[in-house]
Amino acid sequence: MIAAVRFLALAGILSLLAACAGQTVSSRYPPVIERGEPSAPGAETYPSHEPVPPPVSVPERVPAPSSSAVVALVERADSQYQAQDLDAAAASLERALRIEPRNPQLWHRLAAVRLDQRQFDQAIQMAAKSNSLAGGSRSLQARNWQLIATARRAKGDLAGAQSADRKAREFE
Amino acid sequence: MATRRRSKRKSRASRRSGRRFPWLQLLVVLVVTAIGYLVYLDIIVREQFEGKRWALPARVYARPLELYTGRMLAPDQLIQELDRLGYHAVREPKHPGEYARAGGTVHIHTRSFTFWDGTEPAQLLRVRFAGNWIEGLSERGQGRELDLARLDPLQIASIYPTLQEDRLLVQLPQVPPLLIQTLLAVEDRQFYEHFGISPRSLLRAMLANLRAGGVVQGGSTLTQQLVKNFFLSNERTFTRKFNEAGMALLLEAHYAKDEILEAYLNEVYLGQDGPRAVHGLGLASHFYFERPLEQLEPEQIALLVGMIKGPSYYDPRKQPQRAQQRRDLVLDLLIEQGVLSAEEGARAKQRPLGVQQRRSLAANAHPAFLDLVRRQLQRDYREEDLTSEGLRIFTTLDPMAQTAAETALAERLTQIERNRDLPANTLQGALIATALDSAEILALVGDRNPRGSGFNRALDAARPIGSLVKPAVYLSALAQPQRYTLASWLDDSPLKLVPRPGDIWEPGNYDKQFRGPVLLHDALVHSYNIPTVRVGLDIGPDQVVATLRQLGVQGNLNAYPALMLGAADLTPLDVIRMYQTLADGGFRSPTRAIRAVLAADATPLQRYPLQVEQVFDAAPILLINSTLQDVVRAGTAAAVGARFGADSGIAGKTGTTNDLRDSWFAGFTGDQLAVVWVGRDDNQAMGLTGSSGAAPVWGDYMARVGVAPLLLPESDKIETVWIDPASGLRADTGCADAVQWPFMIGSAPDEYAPCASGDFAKPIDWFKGLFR
Repeated sequence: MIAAVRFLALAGILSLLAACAGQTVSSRYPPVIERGEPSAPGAETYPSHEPVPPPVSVPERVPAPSSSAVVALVERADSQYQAQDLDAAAASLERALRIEPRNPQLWHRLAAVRLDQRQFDQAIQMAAKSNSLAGGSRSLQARNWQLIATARRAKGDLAGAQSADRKAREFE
Repeated sequence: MATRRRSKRKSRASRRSGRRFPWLQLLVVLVVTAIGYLVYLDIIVREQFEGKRWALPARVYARPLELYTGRMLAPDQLIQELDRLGYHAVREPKHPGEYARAGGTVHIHTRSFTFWDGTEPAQLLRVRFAGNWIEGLSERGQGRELDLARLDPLQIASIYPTLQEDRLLVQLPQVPPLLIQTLLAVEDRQFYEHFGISPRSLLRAMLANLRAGGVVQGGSTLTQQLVKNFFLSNERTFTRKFNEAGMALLLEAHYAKDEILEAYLNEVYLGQDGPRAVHGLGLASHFYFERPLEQLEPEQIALLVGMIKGPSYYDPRKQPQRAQQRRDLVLDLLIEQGVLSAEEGARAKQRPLGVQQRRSLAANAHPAFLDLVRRQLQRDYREEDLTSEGLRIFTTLDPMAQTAAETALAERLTQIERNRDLPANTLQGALIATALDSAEILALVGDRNPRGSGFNRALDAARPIGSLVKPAVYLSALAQPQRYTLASWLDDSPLKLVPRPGDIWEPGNYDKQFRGPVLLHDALVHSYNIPTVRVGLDIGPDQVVATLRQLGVQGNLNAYPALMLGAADLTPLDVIRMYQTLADGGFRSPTRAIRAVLAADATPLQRYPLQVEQVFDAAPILLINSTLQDVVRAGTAAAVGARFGADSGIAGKTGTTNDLRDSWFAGFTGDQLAVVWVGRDDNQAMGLTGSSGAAPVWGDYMARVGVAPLLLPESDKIETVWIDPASGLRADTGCADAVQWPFMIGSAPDEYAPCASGDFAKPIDWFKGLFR
């Protein structure tokens, strides 16, 4: 149990470091999702399509294996983001969200793009949406709260930013 | 540069006309007056030809089908989509727009298409199915695995100006040389030699006309035909003939032969598709053969060119024999002129016409959805831009879902009328389906006859929503966990209200029973009226109105006690907004029908991005959604639950209004929300409740599109507690009928039910003591 908490904390810190080290333009955008890894740390809690037992006239729905499509779209979004083509990056992430609408990582990334586009309200809302789906992933919730803090600060909401920072620390 | 070239050509042309019409010099006076007229014609010619040559209608597309490993999609669904897109089933796909199916594998040669976020290349795909999902996707040439691919989207409509001309512009290099050779052979052999008019054929025509005492024959060149189509009315007078010749000369003086030829290829009229006029060989090729110009066979080229003489007279769908004779005549001409060898010509004549079954685009297949698209566009674009700039509009419509929705509504209403001995065609209905989390509208039906383009009930029929309002009443209550939980006791005893002096209102339950004390959870699951009114009055009607507004309702709402039972006239679209926010866990997203608009040259003009706004804390919404799952599992929509099985986790609510005038069902699965209304246009009673009218339609729709199980997300503000449903108190292993209900942390009852054996009670009390 303690080992798991430590691991999660470490993973969170590492991913933050990676995010900081990788970019000079912005430290907000999350690191690239590794191929072969589940696309979301909260993947266990992400409602995968389970088979419906006795479907009378329902077309059978079988569990979908992890979607390489989403990983590919995130990679595309990442390189579009690096090239500062933020509209395209957002479009790729929206396309990924149509495939996995409840993947909290995708909502977090879209929030990061909106933040760079200075659409602070949407950045905050999408980070909140990511949190609502994040389930047990504390590191993701911490990053969402950090993002919300940055966006609130940019909007001039300093008290709100401080309270978001406190929330972020709770999850770290 | 361009002006210089043009003036040189003009002087060359005038020299030529001077040489060839010496008699003109005798009519100097006439010419002087004519010059003024020619200048006028010249202005028209140049403006028309150089300016906007054609008004291009906006094209409206459905969503593109995404293919990726792990996607739920039956092979038959893919084949249906390919058929809708006009792909041809062949043995070996070689060209874009062809596919072959071999058991669980489908090979598709996709078409290239430019989307708002880049171009999808044409490629040869191999799609492997395992049952009803895609097991593998690869590019067939090198066997490379692909992460995902998009098919080109289905064009669902065009938005026209009043004059319904449509065309698919082609450029000369795209056009097969054989087509041009055939066209010139049949229509204008001297095209590259003459200067707009051909005096020889003109003279021949004039003689014929003199003999007949009127205009019976035209010796028109391609240029003259173009002028005729382009600038002039269809009357056959000598004035018009004069204008035509003058303009043809002017056109030739200003523009190169290839420019004129290209314009002709795009302008020529080639048939009628309902109210839509098919212009140009590019569109005609798709209209008759469902393939691009580049892929036409010689006999198909011969047919198209032959039809120019009389597109309706030689209509290959209505007059196949006549069309074939004409085609063969053209082929003979090509052999005679050496364009085709005798063998090639003979082979071509052996082949059938090859015309595809008519798949009309003009009929505007989904008028109700398009209505919504137009309303949205009219906020952002001027009408003339929509009908002339060739905008490309990418919508959210899912043709599979739309077809399912249209069929479900039409068939179920017919069935209900038959089973209940109702007069045929008296019931009406509407259905809207959206994708969870993005609020994209997947399907929208506003009439049981989906082609009927009259009253759009999905957008415009505002009817009382009945019990569909109840989740909002209870949400208002559960947002105050210190006052209300799912295990709160409510009073289901007779109630008399005096909303205004002299006005007495005594709400009753649907089954006319009074149950005394009932749990809040059960009051919602079984849709009891009286407890709902009491809760609403306790919370305050204003608060319930505020909740409905927060959820996204835009229609008129009055904070009267009767609001608690759904005395609010809302459209299905408004109801979708409300339930979308519930289904998305308190996040409100504007319902969207459009994803992006591109200019004719594919430059993005506007995106309609995904937007969310958290308007409710997720925790009380989870309590409501969990209870709505119980409505389907064991409440008023139990028939839906039985149909799809307990593990589907579907959440929903029925709604019925006074005297059974309106039947509603709103429900959501793991990936879709759908709202159904059934009623009569004259607002008469029809004898259907929400569970006997709208819910079966909803079920038919979901059965067709497939149900993704709904698993509600977790929340750290929620705990799940075993409850004894008889007492509303905590249960343990001693309670036989115990159920698990969610509570906001700290709000669950402390006390244990009489049935509790006490095995757990003591340790937990001891544990709690540690924290007190």
